[in-house]
Amino acid sequence: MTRYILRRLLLLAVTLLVTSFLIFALTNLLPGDIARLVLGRDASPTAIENFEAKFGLDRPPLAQYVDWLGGFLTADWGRSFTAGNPPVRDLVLSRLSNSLRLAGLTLAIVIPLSLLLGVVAALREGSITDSTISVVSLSVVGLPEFVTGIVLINIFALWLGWLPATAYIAQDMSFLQWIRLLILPALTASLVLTGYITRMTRAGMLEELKKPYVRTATLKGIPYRRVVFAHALRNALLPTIAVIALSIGWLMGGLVVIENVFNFPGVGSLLVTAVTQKNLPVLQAISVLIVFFYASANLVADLLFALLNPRVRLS
Amino acid sequence: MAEKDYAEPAAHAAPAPGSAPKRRSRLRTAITANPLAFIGAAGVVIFVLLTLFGPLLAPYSYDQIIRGTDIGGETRRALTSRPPSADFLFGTDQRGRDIFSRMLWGARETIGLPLVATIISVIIGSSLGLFIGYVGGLVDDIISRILDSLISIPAMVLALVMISTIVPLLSASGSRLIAVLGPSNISLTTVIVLIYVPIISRIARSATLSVRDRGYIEEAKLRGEGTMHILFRQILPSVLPALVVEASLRLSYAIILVTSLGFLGLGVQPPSPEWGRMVLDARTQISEAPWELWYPVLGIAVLIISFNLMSDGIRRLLRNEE
Amino acid sequence: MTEPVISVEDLSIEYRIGREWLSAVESVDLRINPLQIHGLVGESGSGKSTVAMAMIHYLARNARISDGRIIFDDQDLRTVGDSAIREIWGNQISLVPQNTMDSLNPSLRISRQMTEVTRRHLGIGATEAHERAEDALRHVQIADPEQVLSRYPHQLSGGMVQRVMIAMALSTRPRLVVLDEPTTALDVTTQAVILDLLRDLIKEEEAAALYVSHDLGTVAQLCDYVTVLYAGEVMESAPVDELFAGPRHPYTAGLLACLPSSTGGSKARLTNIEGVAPSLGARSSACVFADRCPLATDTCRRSKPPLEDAGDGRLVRCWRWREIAAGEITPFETSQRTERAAGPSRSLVLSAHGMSKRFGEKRALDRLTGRRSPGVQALRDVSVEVNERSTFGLVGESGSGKTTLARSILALIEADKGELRLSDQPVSLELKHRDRETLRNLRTVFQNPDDSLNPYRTVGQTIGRTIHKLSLERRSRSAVRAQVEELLTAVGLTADYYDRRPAFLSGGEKQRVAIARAFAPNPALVIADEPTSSLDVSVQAVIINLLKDLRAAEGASYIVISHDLEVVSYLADNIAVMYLGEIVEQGAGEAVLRFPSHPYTEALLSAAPTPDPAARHHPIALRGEVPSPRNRPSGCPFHTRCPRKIGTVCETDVPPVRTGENGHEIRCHYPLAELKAIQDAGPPASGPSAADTPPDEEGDR
Repeated sequence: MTRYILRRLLLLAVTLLVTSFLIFALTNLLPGDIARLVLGRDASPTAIENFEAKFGLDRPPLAQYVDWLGGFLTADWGRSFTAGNPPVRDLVLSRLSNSLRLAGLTLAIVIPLSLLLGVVAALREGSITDSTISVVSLSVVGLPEFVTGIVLINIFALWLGWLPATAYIAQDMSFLQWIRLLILPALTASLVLTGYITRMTRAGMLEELKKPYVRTATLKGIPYRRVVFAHALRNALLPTIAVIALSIGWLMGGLVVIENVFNFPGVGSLLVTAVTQKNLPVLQAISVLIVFFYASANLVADLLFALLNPRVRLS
Repeated sequence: MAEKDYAEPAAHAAPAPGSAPKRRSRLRTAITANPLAFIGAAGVVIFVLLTLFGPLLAPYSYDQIIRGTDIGGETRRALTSRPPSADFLFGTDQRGRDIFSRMLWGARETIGLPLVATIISVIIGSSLGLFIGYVGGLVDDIISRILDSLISIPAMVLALVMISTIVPLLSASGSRLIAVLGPSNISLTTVIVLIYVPIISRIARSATLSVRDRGYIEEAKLRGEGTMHILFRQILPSVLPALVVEASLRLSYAIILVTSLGFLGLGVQPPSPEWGRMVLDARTQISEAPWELWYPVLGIAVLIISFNLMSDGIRRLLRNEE
Repeated sequence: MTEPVISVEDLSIEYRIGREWLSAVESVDLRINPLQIHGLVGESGSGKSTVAMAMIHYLARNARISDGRIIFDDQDLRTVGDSAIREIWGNQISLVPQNTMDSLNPSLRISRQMTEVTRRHLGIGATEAHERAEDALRHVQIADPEQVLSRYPHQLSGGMVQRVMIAMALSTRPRLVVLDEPTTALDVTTQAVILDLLRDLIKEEEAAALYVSHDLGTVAQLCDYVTVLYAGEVMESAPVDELFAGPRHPYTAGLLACLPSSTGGSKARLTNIEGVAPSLGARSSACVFADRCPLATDTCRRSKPPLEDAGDGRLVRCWRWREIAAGEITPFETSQRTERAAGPSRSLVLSAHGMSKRFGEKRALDRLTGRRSPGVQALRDVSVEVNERSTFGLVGESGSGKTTLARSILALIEADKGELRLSDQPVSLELKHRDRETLRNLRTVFQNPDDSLNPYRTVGQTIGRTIHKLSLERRSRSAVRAQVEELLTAVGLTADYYDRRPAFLSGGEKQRVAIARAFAPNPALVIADEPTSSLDVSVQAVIINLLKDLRAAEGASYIVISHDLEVVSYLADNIAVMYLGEIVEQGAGEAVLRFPSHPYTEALLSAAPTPDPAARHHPIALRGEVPSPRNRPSGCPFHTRCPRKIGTVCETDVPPVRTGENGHEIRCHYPLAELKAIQDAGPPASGPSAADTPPDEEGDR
């Protein structure tokens, strides 16, 4: 098991190294002049030279990558291209906690809800409840986040006036104010994920119920609920762990859109701004950070899976 | 009743060989068994037809600012923010353009572009997946690791990273072809292809692995068939169902990606009437001209739901075939 | 008449396919008396598992009982209701299923799964239940129950899991145990031990049992009474001795005559039951077997015979059973037609010398992390020679390396070492270096007909492509088609199979197509790896006959690989027995099957279930199971299980090759004469079979 964990940690490191390199390579694909792109067509040669020297853009690409990686690991994430050149790390971290709160609330809604719906749908396979869950999770819930977001804003903010349409964050907000603010964005993110995880949970549960050991358990004469809960459920939920980890990647992407729909000051909206402004240091930092969270989620899922599954744990 | 709750595969429930029902009745059973999928498929057909022939049906051009005289009126003023009427089925926008016409034109970017990008991705991705799955060994190890790394970057993030570089790259290339097709169209297609190729090749690879050691593949080797024959004549047909399911799913995600990027202002660039971009432009108009927002939103919703229902239907159908 | 434990009257079961309900089982009557082991035999699709499960009122979601009564304990199980049936299940009725590994919950320890049932029904606490579980395991001859109880299913070997299932099924002292093909997935030697154990335990517990199987051999060894099922109907039921001695239904007679062991020697052809079983739901007013019955009359084709009492506790469903019983007519005569004019030639078609293969996993990540898997020596210095126009049989259990040897000869895997000569020409071990002539001469028939044909290509495309790629001269399209049709006829199919896809063929038909494809380019040697193991008995007979006929007609040689000694001894001129990647014995067929034998061959012969209830015996019980090739025993690889072990010499020294008459070779420390003397004296004392073997430690590192 220790060996397994070490292997997985090593794999995580390799993934991060490769992806950070890919991200760096992609953002440095630009034909020569990042400086001209940022400063504009009419920038003077001196200004460009200064800009390149300031951000080390005149050095060979590989050296730039090594510098950047070294900096990133030692908490020096570089400086933003924008006016005043604030440190990227401060910019990103100030937004990160907001995004994490949003993601946290979303997962707190999604995981219990979708597991419940998935299991219920599987146990009532073919019933009205099952078909309703299936149809709703297939249709309404598969919509792009900005569509759901806009619909929800119009219903709950503009029409009913229950919740704020945009997320203005003040320094001294109470917990309840926070929640009020987060509900609509979190709900938007939840809808998509719930649909997906529900479907996968249902499929996993159905598959599990068809396995021979369920017959063995049933023919022991134990009550049906025991067959389901003591035997099938645990095994059925094992693959769902990986499904949840996968949807965290999806959530990261979804948050980028959702934060823009609600003008929410998180890393997602910062990322979009960075893309618009060609602000490469910010773009790189946020991308690598998101990949890190996603890869860590997968790692945790793998370890959890191994821990709960004796076949992996004991080999 | 007790037996309702048990699921056990019937020992010999499959019809005996030779007694397969005719194709036609099978199609009918498929439709009646899953009417929603049929509705979805019908919707998809309509949307694809609109993509192909939409501009011919559109009363106006997508960037035409409509003035009073255009509809037999007196004024030369632009007819801005007109509500839906017989003249303007979906109303006009804040600049006086016909929303119905814009949406018909915009189907090309909203549906056509993802469709083309998905097809390209499936072709490249499945060839790559078939190849590395069949060859195996170090080649497979290395390529798979790179593909896995690409997959471990969430699609939206990868898209944003690439958009920041590919659009300027293409604009700067100065190619005539790119200029004609539009740099943002090309770059979006490239982005989708780069995101999907790893995903699709992974599916194709694992499907290949599951048939690679079958007897009929080994028999093909034993009669001296070349790699190409084995890949495309022997393996591909078995892998195809999985690829079709994946492709239909990917298409729907590609539409979501294109419209979402449009909504973020990073997708197909104006004046192209891509629906996500239309939603973005209309957001400020929500109180003055709500129709300007609702028709594109509705369009995207119906589009995605159709595709989702269809791809779910395909998945079920192919699963039952097995 | 004694009161039966369970009786089924007029039971009919239907399956829902699409929107229709199709009849799978029709008016089955069955009664199991106390202390009786009742065999329910049938080929695939006969509905035997459906009947067995319906009898204990456990039905698939798409199945329903449309008619009949199931009387158990004076009540009809169809009407007792959910909570009452759960009082019966696990308590008075229990099941030993076929695929035992999947039949245990992978994430719960054995102790939890075993105590669950006793705690539920016997009203005992956790401690007592645990003690009882230990006792139960000891009862199935598991030496260290505490150890086994603390494990998860995947940590146990197949045979061990089967013992656990049996212990669990008997732990509440049920009145009826349903055994659904309990040994099908096991090796022959393990199967023999488990069956032996089952027979003793069921008698000891004074239970009754329903034994569901397709294998007449095990039925003869285990059961007291047999019911034969065909197309969802009872054909015949009788006490086991009488059934095997004098079947009264033509179908039963046919099944028995199909077995390779039914003939005196390999000279006679096996009986074939022509045609295929009717498909699900195809009920007519005729006798279901009429289409395939050689004795069918107009009456048989017009109306269905009743299930009649034939005296001596026998039931038969046939219009002509009286004539059969009186010996006036014989359903399936074994023809004594000898084939083949030309006998085996002295010259060699294939010689393989010193073949060795080691499997090791090498992955990029493993290399990166410095992890090295130990690797498995699948073949150790194996040499075989195959004469022209002869059949070479390879026998061994799983892990013996027989398939690895075949695949190395075919170059589907590349042997590490070895020398191959085909018709005295050296042949590369690598497939890519083999020329067309070699490929043409070396063909194969795979084990599983379902995956040996590409489901997306028609029969014509499949065979035609082989001709196109391998035949000596270029042919026109129509010439290829003509040749394919000729081949199809040669394997007993018709030309209209040309355009069919595999999905529309039965298992036997697929295997015929695969054989036609193998013979298409006139090969010198055909390697058939378990060519009949996934087929029904009656189909197996057809394929075996076909293989024999083709050899006679085409003058090709075979290497036939099987775990089934009967099949190999019927087909082969020479036999080699493999164990853990080595040949332990080889020679002419008769020599290998007679004493002196290698002790492993001796055990295999003893374990093979003979379809003759009169020949019941306790098989030689080998200790434990085949060791994993990963930790191969030193010295003689068989010493860990050998009932004839001499002493430490077997553990330390590699045994010499003892050569007998006509090239008969045995690898054993015993000299041949001594071996023959002790074997003629009788089987070895049956040791504590699994008792001193620790559970498989595989998963514990």
